[in-house]
Amino acid sequence: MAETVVHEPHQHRKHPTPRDYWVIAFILGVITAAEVALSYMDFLGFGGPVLLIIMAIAKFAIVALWFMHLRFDLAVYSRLFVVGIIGAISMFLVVLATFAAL
Amino acid sequence: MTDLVTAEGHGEHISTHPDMNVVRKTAMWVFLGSECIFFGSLIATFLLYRTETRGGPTAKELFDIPFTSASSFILLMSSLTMVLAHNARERRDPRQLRIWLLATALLGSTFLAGQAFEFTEFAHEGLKLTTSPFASSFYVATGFHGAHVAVGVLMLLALLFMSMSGRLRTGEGMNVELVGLYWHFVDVVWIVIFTVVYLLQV
Repeated sequence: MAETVVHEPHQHRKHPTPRDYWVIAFILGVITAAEVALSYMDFLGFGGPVLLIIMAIAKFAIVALWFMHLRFDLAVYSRLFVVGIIGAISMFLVVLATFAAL
Repeated sequence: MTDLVTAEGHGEHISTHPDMNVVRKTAMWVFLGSECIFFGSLIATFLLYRTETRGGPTAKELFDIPFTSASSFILLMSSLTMVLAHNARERRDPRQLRIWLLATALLGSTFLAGQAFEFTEFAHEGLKLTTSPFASSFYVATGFHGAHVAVGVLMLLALLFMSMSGRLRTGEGMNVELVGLYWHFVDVVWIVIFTVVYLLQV
């Protein structure tokens, strides 16, 4: 049982190299710059906030999958984190719905 | 159970036994999952009260997006230096490990200095903790995040001093990994706060 769990992390996925991490950081920097530019584009209307949320989700996923190694680690860690995120979203919706902000 | 008691009695076994590493990492992920719910409630509260300014300054009047963007970029880059520290530890390169741990701690401290400056500016412009529900929810959400960053900086410095004094043994790399996970989590929380609390409000 313990053996199975210990060997699962490798999953035959190649871990990123330091160069890969620099590339990922560059991508995150570019997305952040795009977010800031977008926040000044009032003419986008409702599309602006939607794009900002999509970009934030992309940055969140990149950091979690590559920097936090969820892509390369045990699946149980991803599941635990996803449970937390679902809990956060549920809490979010319950708070806003309870106080009639939705 | 017996194994656990034995491991607790011998500190080195906790770090070097592969199964204990899985247990410690699982515990960290459970902790981070619960932290998601904690910050989710703080951000939801901010959204609830974001327009309740009670005559005080509004988000649009206060927020300096270029400044906060620079702070966000600094925190994002600290995730890069943290992962490079972790990578150096995997390669068993203590010199690089120390360099990147120090860089991460410095970037984290710079972020905190920026937040302290921002809070001071807001206070001068009339946004105190008790000015309005908007002010309270803003300071609580961003302040708790800042407190997490401060704890992270302390843990990074502890790792750095352990490494410099030779107390970060080869088998204790999990300590670097766990602090790294915490640090990256602080970064992803800021990604959400930056978008929801700052960018979407101006």
